[in-house]
Amino acid sequence: MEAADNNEFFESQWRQAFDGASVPPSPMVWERVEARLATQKEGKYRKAIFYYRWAAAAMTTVAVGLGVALLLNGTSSLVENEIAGNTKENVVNSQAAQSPELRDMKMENEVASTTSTLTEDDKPEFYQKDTKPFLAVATIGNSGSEAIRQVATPIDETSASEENMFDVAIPSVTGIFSSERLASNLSKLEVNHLYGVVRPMQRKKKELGDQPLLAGLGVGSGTFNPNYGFRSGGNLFASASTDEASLVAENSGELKTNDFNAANGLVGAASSRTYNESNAQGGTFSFGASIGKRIFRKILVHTGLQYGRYNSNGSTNLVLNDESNDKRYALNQVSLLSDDILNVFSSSQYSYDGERTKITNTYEFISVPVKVGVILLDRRAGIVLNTGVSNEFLLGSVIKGKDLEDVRTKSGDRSPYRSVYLNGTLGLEVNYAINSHYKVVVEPYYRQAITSLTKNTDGYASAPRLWGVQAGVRYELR
Amino acid sequence: MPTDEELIEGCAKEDRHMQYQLYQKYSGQMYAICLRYCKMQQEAEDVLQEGFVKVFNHIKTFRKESSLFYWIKRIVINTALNHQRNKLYMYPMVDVAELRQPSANHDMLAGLQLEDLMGMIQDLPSGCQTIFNLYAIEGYKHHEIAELLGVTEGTSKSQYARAKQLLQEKLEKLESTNYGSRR
Repeated sequence: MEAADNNEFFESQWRQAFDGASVPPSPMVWERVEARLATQKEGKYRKAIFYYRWAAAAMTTVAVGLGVALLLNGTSSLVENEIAGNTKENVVNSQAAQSPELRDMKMENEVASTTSTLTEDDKPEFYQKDTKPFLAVATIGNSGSEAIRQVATPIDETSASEENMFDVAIPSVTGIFSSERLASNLSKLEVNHLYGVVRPMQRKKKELGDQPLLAGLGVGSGTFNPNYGFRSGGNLFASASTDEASLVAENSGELKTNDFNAANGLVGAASSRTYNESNAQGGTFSFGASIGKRIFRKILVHTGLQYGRYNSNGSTNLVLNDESNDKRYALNQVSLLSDDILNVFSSSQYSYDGERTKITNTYEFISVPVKVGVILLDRRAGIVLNTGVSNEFLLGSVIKGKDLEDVRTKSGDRSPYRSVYLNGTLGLEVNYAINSHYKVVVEPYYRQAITSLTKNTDGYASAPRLWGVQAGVRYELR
Repeated sequence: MPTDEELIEGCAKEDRHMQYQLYQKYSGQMYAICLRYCKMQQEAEDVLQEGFVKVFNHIKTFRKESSLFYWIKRIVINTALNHQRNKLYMYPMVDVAELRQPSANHDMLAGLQLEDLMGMIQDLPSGCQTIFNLYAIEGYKHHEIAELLGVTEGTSKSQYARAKQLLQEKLEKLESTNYGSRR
């Protein structure tokens, strides 16, 4: 019992002696701790930057590859075997249209049904295949994030003295040298510990007003799909018959797209005479400029202006021959309303050509995107998640094809197109600072129409979608 | 001086200024612990450095179940034990013969400076030093020490008894010297 008490007394003596004991360590210990932390942090950054550099290089390669492919392939598309399977149909001119024999022969070859609500099996093979996608968009390398470079910028003297933590070793260093000048130079170089490790950088906190304005230029490419379809969800289907010529002629200048649709009974349905632009992807090209500003530490807003040409590839066997001028025009809901076609209809020398022909419908837009960027990484290499809306102002569309005249349609009251439609946009920007002012920027992005490209009165809608990659250079006005 | 909450928050954000403040606040007490577990000042500084690097690297995982001081202390002690384990591997602890129990029950530490006591502990053999620190000062039980160091409970007890005897002898010697000099 006594021994136990002795033991407890002995231990409590020692415990009390060291209770709250404190011995100040050498200042060099903190220097070493700090150096270790800095080395660890630097290692993390190096690893991260290694991967981001590779990601940026891969995206740049993809963007350049798409651009080169666009240049090499031009704007052609359509699967060749879709063309090969079609036979040239007899020409039916306006005089022949009046002949009962020819009309009867024609009707025998056409599908009896005049309804437009076709089942999947009823649709011609042409509609059951997706046309092959084409190339490429271009957009502007707009907006983006601002990365803080990881160069070892010295902290200013005020902050250093306030921090009062880095200068401990300076006297010992300066004391080694007899020359005051040399010592002061060393001080400027901040050789203030003896472990050969780069001094950890103190990131200077930036005020919001210090954030630079951003200005960028860029180009891009991608794929565009007008994504036509009835509002009920089916593909766009249009047909023509020999009756059409006279109907069109009679209604010259007053045509609506529904007039061209088999559903209203104005025209006979002919499955072999179709125009299809649904699911007809095509290449795109665009360029533009952007400006932006960081409004919070991790948020920036940016807008811009860009011009884009978006191609949609399809085929048609609705070709109108202007025999008096020996010219051929592709017909679809859009081209029927063009002045070029109406002029042909006003003459009596025209006929329909049933040979399926590849066509490309090229839309021209001026885009005004407004985006908000969330800065995910803000270093020399940066990552920004951009989201927002983009207004696409239609300048017009041109239908082109081999041995065909260009058929141009502008936006306006008579146009089946809206003058502007709205997109939602989402992109992931990767940027890399090449110096204190310039950054290279690569951004894969996706745009999906929120409103229809076509007027809803036409009975069908278009909700274009666009995948693309934009690349460019950004200047930061500091 | 920022509060512990502010220090934890700042260190979690890797704010170097807050890390320095935390170091300033606790490094003295932690260094005293390191000195108890080590033989030399340089070794203690190494342990302190490594301990604080661990603290800053893991402070995001601090769940505030104990005070910040005890959390840091635990990390520093574990770091010191890791250093000691290397020595224990080279010079394994063994049971020592039954020792004479110290009889003195008066306050033998009265009048001694902290550095004198520190020196006595540092002079103990490595195994004795670690176990004395853990048992007498930190308050661990022998079975906990055995588990912590990978030795048997008996070894822990006998090493502690040996440490106690060595310290008693030193204290008695010191006392007699002081008594002699006073006389």
